Amino acid sequence: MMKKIVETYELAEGIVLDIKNLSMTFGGLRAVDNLSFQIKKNQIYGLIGPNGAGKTTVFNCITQFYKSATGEIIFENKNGEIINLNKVPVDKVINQGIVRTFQNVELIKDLTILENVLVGAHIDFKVTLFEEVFRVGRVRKEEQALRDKAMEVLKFLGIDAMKDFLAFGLPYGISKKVELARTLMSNPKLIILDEPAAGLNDTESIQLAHLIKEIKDRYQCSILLVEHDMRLVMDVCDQICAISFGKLLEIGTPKQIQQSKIVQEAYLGRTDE
Amino acid sequence: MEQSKLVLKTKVTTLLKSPYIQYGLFAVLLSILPMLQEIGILKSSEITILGSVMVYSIAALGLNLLLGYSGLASLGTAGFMGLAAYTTAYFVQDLGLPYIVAFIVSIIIPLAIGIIVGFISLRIEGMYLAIGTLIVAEILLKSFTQFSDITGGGIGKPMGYPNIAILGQLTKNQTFTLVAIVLVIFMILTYNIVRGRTGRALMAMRGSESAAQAMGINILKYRLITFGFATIFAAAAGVMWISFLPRIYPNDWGLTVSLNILAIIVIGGLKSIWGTLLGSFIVIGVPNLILKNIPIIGNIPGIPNIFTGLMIVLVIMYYPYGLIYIGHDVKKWYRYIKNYIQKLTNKKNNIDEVGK
Amino acid sequence: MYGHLPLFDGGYKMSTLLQLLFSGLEIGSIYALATLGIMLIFRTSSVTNFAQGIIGMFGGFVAAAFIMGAYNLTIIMVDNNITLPQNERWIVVFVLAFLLWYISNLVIKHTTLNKWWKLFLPIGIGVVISMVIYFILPAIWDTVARQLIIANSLADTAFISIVIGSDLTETVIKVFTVPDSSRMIFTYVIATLVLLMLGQTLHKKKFEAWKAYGISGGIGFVYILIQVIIGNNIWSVTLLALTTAIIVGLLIDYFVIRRAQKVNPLAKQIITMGIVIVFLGITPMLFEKVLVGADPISIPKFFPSGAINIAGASLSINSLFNIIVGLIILAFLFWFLQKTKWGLAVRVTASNPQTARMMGVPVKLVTLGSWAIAAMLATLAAIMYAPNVGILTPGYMTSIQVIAFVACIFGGFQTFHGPVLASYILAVVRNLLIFYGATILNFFLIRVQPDFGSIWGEQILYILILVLVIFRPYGLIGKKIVKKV
Repeated sequence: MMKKIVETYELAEGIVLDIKNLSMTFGGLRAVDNLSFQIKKNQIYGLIGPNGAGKTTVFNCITQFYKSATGEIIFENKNGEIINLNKVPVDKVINQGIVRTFQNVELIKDLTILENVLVGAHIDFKVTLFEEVFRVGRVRKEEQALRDKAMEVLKFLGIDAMKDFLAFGLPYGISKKVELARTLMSNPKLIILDEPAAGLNDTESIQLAHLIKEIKDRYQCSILLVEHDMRLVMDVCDQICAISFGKLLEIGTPKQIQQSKIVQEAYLGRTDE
Repeated sequence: MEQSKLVLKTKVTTLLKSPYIQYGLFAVLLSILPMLQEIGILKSSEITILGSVMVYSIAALGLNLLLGYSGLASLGTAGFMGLAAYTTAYFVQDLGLPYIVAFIVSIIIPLAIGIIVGFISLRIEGMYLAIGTLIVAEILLKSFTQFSDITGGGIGKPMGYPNIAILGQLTKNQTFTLVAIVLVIFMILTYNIVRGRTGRALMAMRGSESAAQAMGINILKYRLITFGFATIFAAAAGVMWISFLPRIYPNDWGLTVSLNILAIIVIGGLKSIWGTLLGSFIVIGVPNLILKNIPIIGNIPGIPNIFTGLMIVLVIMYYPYGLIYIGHDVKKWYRYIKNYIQKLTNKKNNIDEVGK
Repeated sequence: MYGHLPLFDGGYKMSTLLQLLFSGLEIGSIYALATLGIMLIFRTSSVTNFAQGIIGMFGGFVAAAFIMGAYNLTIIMVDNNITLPQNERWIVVFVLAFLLWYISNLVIKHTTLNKWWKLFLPIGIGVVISMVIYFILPAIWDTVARQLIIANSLADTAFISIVIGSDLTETVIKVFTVPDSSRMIFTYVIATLVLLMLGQTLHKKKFEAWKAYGISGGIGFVYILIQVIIGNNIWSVTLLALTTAIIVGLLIDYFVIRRAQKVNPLAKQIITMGIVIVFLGITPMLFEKVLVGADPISIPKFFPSGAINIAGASLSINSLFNIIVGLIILAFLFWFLQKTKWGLAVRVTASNPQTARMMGVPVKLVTLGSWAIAAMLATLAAIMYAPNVGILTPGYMTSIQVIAFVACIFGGFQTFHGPVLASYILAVVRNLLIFYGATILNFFLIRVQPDFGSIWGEQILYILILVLVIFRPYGLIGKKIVKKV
């Protein structure tokens, strides 16, 4: 009779996500190589690196879209428990309190903006299938309550007037806002943004920076973002981790990263010919 | 006086907008049809055809959930219908059990197989899945032929109109009403499913599996839900089939039926409940009720199939969302023509003005 | 259905196994031909062709109709009291035809008609001429115009309309005189339209009516020639059926598949299912003559009798022929794909049509050709399979279609040789399961009745395939394509 060993994990005070020795290999290629960093509570954390550095891979490992990563991803979930995310199935990650956006905005084209945002609240629906099928009173109440919440979020992002537009063929900036709205529905502890400024012009980027800070304050969460737009990153992030070829280059404040020789080399290449 | 009339009008309009009211009215409308037959306006054969339209609609609603909302192709509908039909016949005729018991069992047995198919659907996608369901249907079809002691094989399996506990033995027209009630119930169920979070989850699963998973939607669970419901609907259709139509043969459940059901939702409208009914009427009703009675064309054998097949091809190419949305186009043209006439009259007025 | 298998005698003799192997190879050839057709279309047009079996069935029915005499030239003439024109009268017929073409062409050149008018003008002129002769000059109707009707009967035989609108005239006349003529109107009109469009489209740039008719006429002439030279036997009939298959394949690709390019893959599949339904309707319509006739509709074997004996197993000459023909065709097609320029074009289009187009590969021709070849393969499979089935019904190729798909899954959609190999394996394994089903289970200590195999054999095969697909979703030889998030 083997006793089930329950692994317990520890997180330092004030830390919400602790990445320990994360590695991910595809075939023969090491996409992520022994990467470690920590995200504090209520912190905006940036992940930067040249193209192909492995940033999206890191995301996918954290959110469990890739399952065969080695290393530990320790997280303090919504209930205050400390868990190893590697043990969580991909569709349960949001229950723990982590949501993400996608590089190619993945909205459901056949649904309206409001309905897309409601998808973000999927786990908040407590009615059973049986109740749904027979549309018991509780179903209507819950649906209405969550609709109201969705409208609030849409208002906050300034797109509530478009709630009944189909998600198909929307302007890029609006699509990104809808995806953002979707993530806010579940009251997350950590929001992961995959290149939120991609395709936005300067004005929109400034608005986005402002919005990200507002979200952090309003929802009291941490935000991890991957971005190429350096201005946004420097403006918005409290702490930055720079990687290249899947390996850690440097961790520090925006100012430290800007002045770091190692980071400059990785981006611009060596100049000591 | 004017005010209260306006209030009444608004109240009625809002009421009519509610799908439940619409479906209820539809049920009433359908129940009138057998009465029309009794007073001689409709023929008995026409009632039979309309009954078939309703039965096909029930199965098509299920396939709509599967294909229209979840994007999963299935060609096995007919197999499940047949399984349910034979089970009902067996339980009622051979075992002498009450109709309601037979009904329930006839839903459960195909459901079990449908759930298995749901599991399989996780491993195979797209056309592989379509072919996989085809294989399942073929297995069922061959079994129908082989187990001729239960299914009656080539001779066919008869079953009279249902004899339901409280209501007693039903006549043909009463069975018609029963089918109508079952249809409307399933329409309401479909509406409830797609309107809420399950419907959204299904469409999310179809639109982007990654996004769906990131939002906490368990793909296995919802695949099972979709296949489960689709099978329940198909099974119910099978039970209604044998309750209403006299005799069933193994060949009744071949690929043609599955294709016709597919045709129904494609032609009518993939994500629309009324569209499914429209499609069923077009595919099953129109050829048998209208086309066959046209003098020259009607005598050509195979006309129903040619009509249906051509409609599928044309609708997909030009109206990919189904004919139910033809209403929008009609409105558009109407507005366009109105604008055009408006422009012409304005021009004329301007010219007159200038002339002065 | 298992008539070609020996009765189970409880034996494991070499001869029985060989027998099963031979019959498996023969059926395997049939599956392989159908499967290759499906793969060809799938790889070049990116369409899962659910209509493969039904197109084959159509070709089979064409063959059956011809061989049963429904469209046999001599029989039609006898039935209608028509005699072939004497030499000089043939001249009259052709002169009239040429006059018509010439007049039409002149009119077209010197007016600005749009293309639909151009198409129907010759028919109209033909109708007018025929009507004039019929009503106003009945005296010469018999000698001249009747020859046109003969020509029309030729058209009947050739299954397409050839000449000048005498078609439509005769139809109109028949409507008022012959009771069962309603279906004939549509047969003729549709056939005429179809082939005129074929002729027209092949000369899209400069529409010249006479070219259009010329092509249609030429095809009809080929049909007649084949019948006259080879006679009315299974060989000529197969040639005719294959020719029809080519036309059908070309038409489907041109009119349907090409127009549906921008539609999503699922919708394309549904379109092919629509085509299936259309064919299920057209077949009874066009072949009513044979379907309601006194004799049951069937196709004889290539070699009706004769068998050779190999180690105690009897292999009929016909089966041997089928196996060899199957292998030759497959070998030829593989050689074609691997070693010729056009084969390369097909393979390039199969892997990426966009790139192929940019590299100058005539993708449109490649898809047309693929559909034509696939239709031919399906028809050949249907004709080979027909003697096994006995009495033909419009759905007789459905089981072949299903198994061909199973072979595609089993062998993987990424290669051509995978599904073909799978076809043969499936056929042989199916035989083994049906025959030895009980024995195999007994081996695992499960007692069942001796004919368990024949009842459950096929279902078990399907279930095994399903299980296999679950564990190897990409088939025996398939490769997984990694999807990037």
